Amino acid sequence: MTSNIQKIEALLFVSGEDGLSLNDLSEMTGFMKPAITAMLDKLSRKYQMDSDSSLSVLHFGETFRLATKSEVADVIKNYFDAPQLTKLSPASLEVLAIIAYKQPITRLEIDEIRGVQSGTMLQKLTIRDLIGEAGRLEEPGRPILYKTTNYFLDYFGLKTIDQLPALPNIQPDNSSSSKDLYLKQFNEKLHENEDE
Amino acid sequence: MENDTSGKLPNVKINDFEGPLDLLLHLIKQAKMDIYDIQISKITAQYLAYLHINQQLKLDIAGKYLIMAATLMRIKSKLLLPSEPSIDEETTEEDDPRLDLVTQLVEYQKYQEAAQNLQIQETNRQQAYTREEAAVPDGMQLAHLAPGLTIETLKQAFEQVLIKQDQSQPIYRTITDDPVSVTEQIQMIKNSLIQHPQGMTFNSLFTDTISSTKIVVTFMAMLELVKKQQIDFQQSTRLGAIKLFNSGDEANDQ
Repeated sequence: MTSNIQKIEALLFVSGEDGLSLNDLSEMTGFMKPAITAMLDKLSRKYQMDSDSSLSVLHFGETFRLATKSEVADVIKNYFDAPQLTKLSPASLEVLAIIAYKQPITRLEIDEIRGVQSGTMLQKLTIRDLIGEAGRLEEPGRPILYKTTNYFLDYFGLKTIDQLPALPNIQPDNSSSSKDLYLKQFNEKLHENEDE
Repeated sequence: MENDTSGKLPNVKINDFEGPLDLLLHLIKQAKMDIYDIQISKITAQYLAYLHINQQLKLDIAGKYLIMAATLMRIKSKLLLPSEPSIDEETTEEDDPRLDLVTQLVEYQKYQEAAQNLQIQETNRQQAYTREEAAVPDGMQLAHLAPGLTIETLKQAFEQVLIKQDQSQPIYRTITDDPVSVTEQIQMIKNSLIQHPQGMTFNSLFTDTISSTKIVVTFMAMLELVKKQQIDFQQSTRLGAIKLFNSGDEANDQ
């Protein structure tokens, strides 16, 4: 006798890195989507609880996949004996972060934040399918708007774009009030005179 | 002052920075200053010292850095001037000539930190391994094939192949003439499709191909065949593998 979760697990196993969406799973099993969500949940918890199991259920964007747990990553690297996947450069990550938090956004706005041109980075990120066009701004020149893709979610292990960690909030160190400003300016001038 | 800055700077190289803002943030952090209370005089001196060390900056890059140097010096001179007596006391805060620069730096720093967070996410995600989709056993076909494919997905698939090829590029290689014609590749695709009546994946046509000429020619051959309506493309899921079929093949007739 086959259990329902067994069916879901089997489909995920066969679909491999392509993964399946709730829609796909619903179509293939005939179960309702809420039921499938519950089953995926249960399957995921089962893997988590079982310390002898190396599997986990991944959920990024729309897609569910079977993957190995991160604990076994080291031993798997022995099997592949391959160099690490090419990671994104700091510059690419910077551009990507700006797009992720401010999308849709034009190249000019990105350039302004970074103080340098980002054209090449945008090209590279587009080729890697991490960003895509989100139409054009109705302004002179009709500049392209950029947004992150579904693959972006997968690449960074996010279920939805809302799962991005909150944008860091940078506050003054000593929470000095504006009243100190005169004093600070005075001190600074004093220092500067020393410097000269 | 000179001794003070030169001691900290020798290891700083132009390539380590993404631009003037990045460099400025680095100097501010190194000097342990509050970003909201930058000691302009000190930072300007360090910034200029840095530019001196890197005098061989390329002209197009140097421009950006020099504009920032000019901005810093403008702010410094404004700070040195005695402030005009202002009638409205409330405006004093807005009179701080550093304000624009600070706003820009704070904004930039936010995204730099966000980028670091993304990098952690990236590393974590790469700890989870998946395997390829199971091969379809002989005599069967994928059930959830739905026709329909846009030029965009085809373009993406081709770019994926190019990335893969780029990554597998040997460091040293001998350049040899590599004569492949579109006609030959058309014949190759047709032959392969005869051997694989179930259809074959887009990627499988590009395995073991090292020369980019051959990749391009194969891709052109494929487009040529589609144009002549001799083959069809199909993609089962949005990000799934693209498959090639002989047009009018039974496998395609459902």
